[in-house]
Amino acid sequence: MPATINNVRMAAAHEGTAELIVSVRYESGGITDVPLDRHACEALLVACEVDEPDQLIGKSWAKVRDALSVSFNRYK
Amino acid sequence: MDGSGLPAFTADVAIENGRIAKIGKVESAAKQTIDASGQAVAPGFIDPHTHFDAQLLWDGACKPALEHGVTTIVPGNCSLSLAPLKEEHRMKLVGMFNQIEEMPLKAFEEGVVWDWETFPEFLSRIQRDLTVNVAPLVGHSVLRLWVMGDAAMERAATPDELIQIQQLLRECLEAGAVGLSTSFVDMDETLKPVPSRYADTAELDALAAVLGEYGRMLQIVHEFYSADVTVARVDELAELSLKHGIPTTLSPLFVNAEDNGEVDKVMARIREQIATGARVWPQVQTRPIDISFCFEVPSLLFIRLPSWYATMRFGTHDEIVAAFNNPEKREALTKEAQPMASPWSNLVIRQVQTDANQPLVGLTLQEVAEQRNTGIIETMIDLSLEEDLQAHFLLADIGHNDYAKVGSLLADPHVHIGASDGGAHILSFATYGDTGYLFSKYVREEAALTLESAVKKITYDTANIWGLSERGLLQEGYVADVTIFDPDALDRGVEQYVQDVPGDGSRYVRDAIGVSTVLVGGEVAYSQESGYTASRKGQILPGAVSGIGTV
Repeated sequence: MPATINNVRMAAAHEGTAELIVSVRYESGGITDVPLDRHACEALLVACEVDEPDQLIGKSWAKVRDALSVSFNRYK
Repeated sequence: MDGSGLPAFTADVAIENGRIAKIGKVESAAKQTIDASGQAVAPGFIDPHTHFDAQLLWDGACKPALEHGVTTIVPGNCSLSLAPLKEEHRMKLVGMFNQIEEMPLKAFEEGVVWDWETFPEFLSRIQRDLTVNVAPLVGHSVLRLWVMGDAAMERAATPDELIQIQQLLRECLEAGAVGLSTSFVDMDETLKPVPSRYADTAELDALAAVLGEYGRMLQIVHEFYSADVTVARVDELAELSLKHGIPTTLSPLFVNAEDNGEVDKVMARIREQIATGARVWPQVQTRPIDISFCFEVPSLLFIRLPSWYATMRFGTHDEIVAAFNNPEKREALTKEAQPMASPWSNLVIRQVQTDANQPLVGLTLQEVAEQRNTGIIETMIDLSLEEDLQAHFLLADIGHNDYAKVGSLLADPHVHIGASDGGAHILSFATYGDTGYLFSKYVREEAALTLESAVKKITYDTANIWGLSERGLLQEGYVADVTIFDPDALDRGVEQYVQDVPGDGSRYVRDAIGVSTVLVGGEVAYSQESGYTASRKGQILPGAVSGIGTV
């Protein structure tokens, strides 16, 4: 079973803005937290075809990876 | 409270020629006497992670850091310093400072006379009006820009370029740089990685070798959002520390509620590496992180409220105003937000434009709602309309807010208290007063540290970690950087929005509470009674190599 999102929560980023932390659980049982800025968060919701962050639970880590790329590449 | 961490004792402190002459019973008369009865007399505090680089050009006291008891600052963190810098790269660097540290462009345009290029020239420039001591890092990104030009943002250095970068670093260290800063995280104003991120491991190793010639510090901004990558960086720093005999530090390390053991994972590796003899110091800040927003800019705070987020995300200014004025839409928005009433009631009015609403700044939304006899959500909407969407709201203490865990980290001998970011993010939040908060929150309220150990952490420990000799301790012969404060009152004041940045710029600041007198180099630089003095005893630390001897 591929790594999937198993939790989402709101957090404060270093710069004082809100960010979404998605916890990704790996096959091995290991968990890592990935912070998403506004752009990555919006891209993830669209890619997963959901409206709310809580509906991201169970979605693949690959969607998270791609959403991060959307944020990072938006000024290219 | 001499900075050693030992229990405080009652004594006179005599100062002569800028140094501590005697601690004990002093009978002879002095030119000037400061009555510190009932107060704590401690070494001046040292702030190891700041971005005062630009402010030093118009304010040698780095206000208000000095009045918080900070007598030494370390600028040039995160791969960014203002020297060495060729004329053609000035605006590039200004863009990076603007993007990463939120230093306004206009402040550079109107507050800076660009009369330096080399690192020694920059040090001469700031020394003209220096009240605080400055232990400057030189930024890896600017070294690359100087040698490689635009290629610094495209590729790793060639062997020939690397030799030139090494030599340039050597010149900076000779002139008085306390070390080198680099970043694996930051992006410039076009969201491209800053130059230091194009370096390969061989380049960092070569620069660490130069640091080793002088025994100076390597500071990095690691991938703090990922514990796994941070652990890898800890290993990398440990290897460089052991190989080249240098101290290293990584910042920042945050502790959020609901952390999945991420910080424990990093600290476990830090302890393992320190046990091998490596010097790897994680910097932990004292202050919690707040979230602020206004309705002009979309905020993820509203992501769980689809109607609100859609309004902010897709609406123009006029469309948002129209939605807030539309009775039906107002009712729908209010209904959607009601289940989340708790965070709204805790929101603080942070900044408004109109004179009429200025008295509301600092009040919670609940307090204003009670004054107006309206609902909390309605009050938030009304205020936003009255301020043309420029009402700024603050949700305080929302990150780095596991106080028990942060307290235990701050007390941990393997942790370096720092990461204040002083002088940065000036339009987002106040980066001053972290030392006061250490005492009010973690000494008095949480009892995580004793008074003496907290003082030691931000004086003696910091001076030792950074190799600042004859500082950080009240001891005969040491330089008389002294902070006198009321241990029962020392704190940070409330956040204020002030207009004191060149170019009519503004920033958030905090006043100090409980600091009565601050001495730098044996002279009173600030007193609560008379404010800042004309004293200019600040020094560059550790100073030019010819003045301090080599390692």
